[in-house]
Amino acid sequence: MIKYSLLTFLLLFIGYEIIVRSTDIYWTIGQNQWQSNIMRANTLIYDGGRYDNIMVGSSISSKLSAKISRDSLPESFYNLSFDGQSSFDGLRILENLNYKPKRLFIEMNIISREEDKSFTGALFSPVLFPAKKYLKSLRENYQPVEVIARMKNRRKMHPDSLAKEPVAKFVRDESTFQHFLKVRAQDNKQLLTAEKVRTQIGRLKEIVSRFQQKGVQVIFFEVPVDPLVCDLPLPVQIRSALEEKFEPMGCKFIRIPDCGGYYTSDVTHLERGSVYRYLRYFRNELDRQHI
Amino acid sequence: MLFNSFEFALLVIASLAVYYLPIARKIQVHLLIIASLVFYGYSNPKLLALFLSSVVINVTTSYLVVYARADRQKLYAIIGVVVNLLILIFFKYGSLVGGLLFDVNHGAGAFLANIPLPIGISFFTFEGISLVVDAYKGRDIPQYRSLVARSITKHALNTTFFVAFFPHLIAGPILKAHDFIPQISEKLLSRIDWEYCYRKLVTGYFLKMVIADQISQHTFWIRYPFFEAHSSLVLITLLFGFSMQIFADFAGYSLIAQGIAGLFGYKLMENFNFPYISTSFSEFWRRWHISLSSFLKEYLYIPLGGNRKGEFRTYFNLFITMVLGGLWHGAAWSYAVWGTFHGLALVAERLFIQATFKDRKAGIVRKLIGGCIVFLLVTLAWLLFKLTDIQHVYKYLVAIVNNQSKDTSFKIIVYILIYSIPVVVYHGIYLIKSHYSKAHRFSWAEPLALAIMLFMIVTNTGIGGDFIYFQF
Repeated sequence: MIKYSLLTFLLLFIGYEIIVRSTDIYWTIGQNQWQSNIMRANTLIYDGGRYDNIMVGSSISSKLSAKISRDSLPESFYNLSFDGQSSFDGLRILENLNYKPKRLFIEMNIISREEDKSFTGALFSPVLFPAKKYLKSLRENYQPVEVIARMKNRRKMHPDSLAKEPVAKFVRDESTFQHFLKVRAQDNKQLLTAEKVRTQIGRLKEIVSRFQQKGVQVIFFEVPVDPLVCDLPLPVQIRSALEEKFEPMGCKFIRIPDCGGYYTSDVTHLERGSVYRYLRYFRNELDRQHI
Repeated sequence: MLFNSFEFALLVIASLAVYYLPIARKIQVHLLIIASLVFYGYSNPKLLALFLSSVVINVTTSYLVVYARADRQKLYAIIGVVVNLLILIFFKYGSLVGGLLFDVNHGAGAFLANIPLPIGISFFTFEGISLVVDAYKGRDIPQYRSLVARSITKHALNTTFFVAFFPHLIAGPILKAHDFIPQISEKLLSRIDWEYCYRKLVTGYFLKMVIADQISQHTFWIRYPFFEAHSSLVLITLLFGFSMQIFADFAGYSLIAQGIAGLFGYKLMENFNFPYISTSFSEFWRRWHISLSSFLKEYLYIPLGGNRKGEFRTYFNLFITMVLGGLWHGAAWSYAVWGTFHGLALVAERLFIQATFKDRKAGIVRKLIGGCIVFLLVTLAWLLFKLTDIQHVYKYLVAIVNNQSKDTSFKIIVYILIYSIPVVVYHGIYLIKSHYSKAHRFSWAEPLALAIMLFMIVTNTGIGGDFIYFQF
């Protein structure tokens, strides 16, 4: 029974590997948030693309490249920000790959969150990391359930290549927004302890120094959030702590614009029209500061 | 150390490589104890101190229960049980009690609120209680007398191994001394039941890594305030998904534990017996987390008097057993409410069946209706496991009613349904096998099914997170 079963497994596995190598069944959007994060990292790790500009951050930054046209982003740009995580994960990936972009953009909004070691552990597992280089079917981008579930869309066109929808009038669900506002406002009123700030900034300082030694230009940026939480004690504390520590190190800052006029559906994540608006500001700042 | 981690695979392979060597035959138990301590102390070696202290207490009290003067044996049994319970209460419920009695920001309250919860404590303290009680029962049950060896060294080895054996150490199944200790002997490679181990391991890893870990990335949204953004249909699907996930996660863990133990020549008890086909709550508790429910029955319900002290006491005993069983899961009121819910359900079911059906056998329609009601209520009650703040549970239920007009994310619904199919099929196959006499004709399908599961484990796993029951 075991021999028959193992033999069948081998046939299935080899057959699937042949299929994924000979057809274009490849997705960049996962079945869920965690998988989308992994796939975003896999694309950088295994596809061999070299980018001059890399952005690291949380879901706040991750939304900057989702559902928008690529030409709104700076050239040779890769967004290595992850939903539910922080800048530390993207930085860890770059360090593990010994990746040296020209410019490294670090999000300032979420700094208190720790590196997700299970995430980076899954990406660089001692067995799967080398195996995924050679066996495509082991990569999350080719999971069979994903392939089957999205096969219907594929008949029309590769879903990742579909034209982005035009920006429509933004309609927000007010009851949902109020629930989020209550929680976020509460969270953003609580200052981090001095010890926590010291630890996180110290950790970030070490990483930034290592990148600077390699000749990478480090730029901090802050994405606007809802005006009601924009200047509460926590973001102000993080903002001033980062500026105080990293400006003397020669890092540039793309400071948060006036939050008025930016819209979010859940207090923290910009809606699509506001993303375009922020990216215009972002690119103008790059030009203005000669970055 | 997680069962699905690289380090764990290394530990098992290294242990197996040495375990069956002829030269190691006399020290097999020693080897497994060392492997188990490495497993337990891997991420936090400090925890070993508490674990070994608990072992010393159980070795000493169980030995004294058997070999001390006859008039003191009962006293030692009581001491053994009480000390185990105090350890459990202190580490597990200290923060809950501290929050009730003191200000958690200062003094004793702050101290109690910050007591760390050692992983697996609920499991190894219950196993300690089982040893002490079984040793005491040896006065009346002849086969229990051999549980405590005359040599204190051998008894210490057996006890340490019984509690520490790594497949069951941190999330069960909860072993009973009288089931496990008699199995301790020299094991031979030729005696391994490879098919049993292969079946358990492949099914277990499939349930955990493909089903539970994939669904968990959707049920993640059962968190305040995130669930407020979803429609009623999504909220109901998420709850259904969590019901599938918790089964796949815990049953998967138990199957892996059985498979690993089997590789070392030991059989652990079945912990799940297709619980979602249950047509009554009493049947559900004979099929879900069997090692806990049988422990509670043997060491709590029956000592309380079981059903031998009249109708009222039977209901009371049932109820109190379930409330305490609920609290066993964690130091939060939601677990007590969950236990109370199941206790009330068992009492109400018993009252209803006795009043309505008496001794009439259940027909197919009654079973079907019963099965649906039990599944719906059990699934609803899992919300108390996912949201340990009662206010959030209430908000979730209100959102199910109020969010009918919100946009529905069909992606979440589709993926939860896809990953739930194997759990439904798993139960369905069991039903077919038990009702269709010619089911053996399809035995050729088993290796194929195992091959597909193995293929999915390799190509389609989700996030490798902790097992849900680790927190208990």
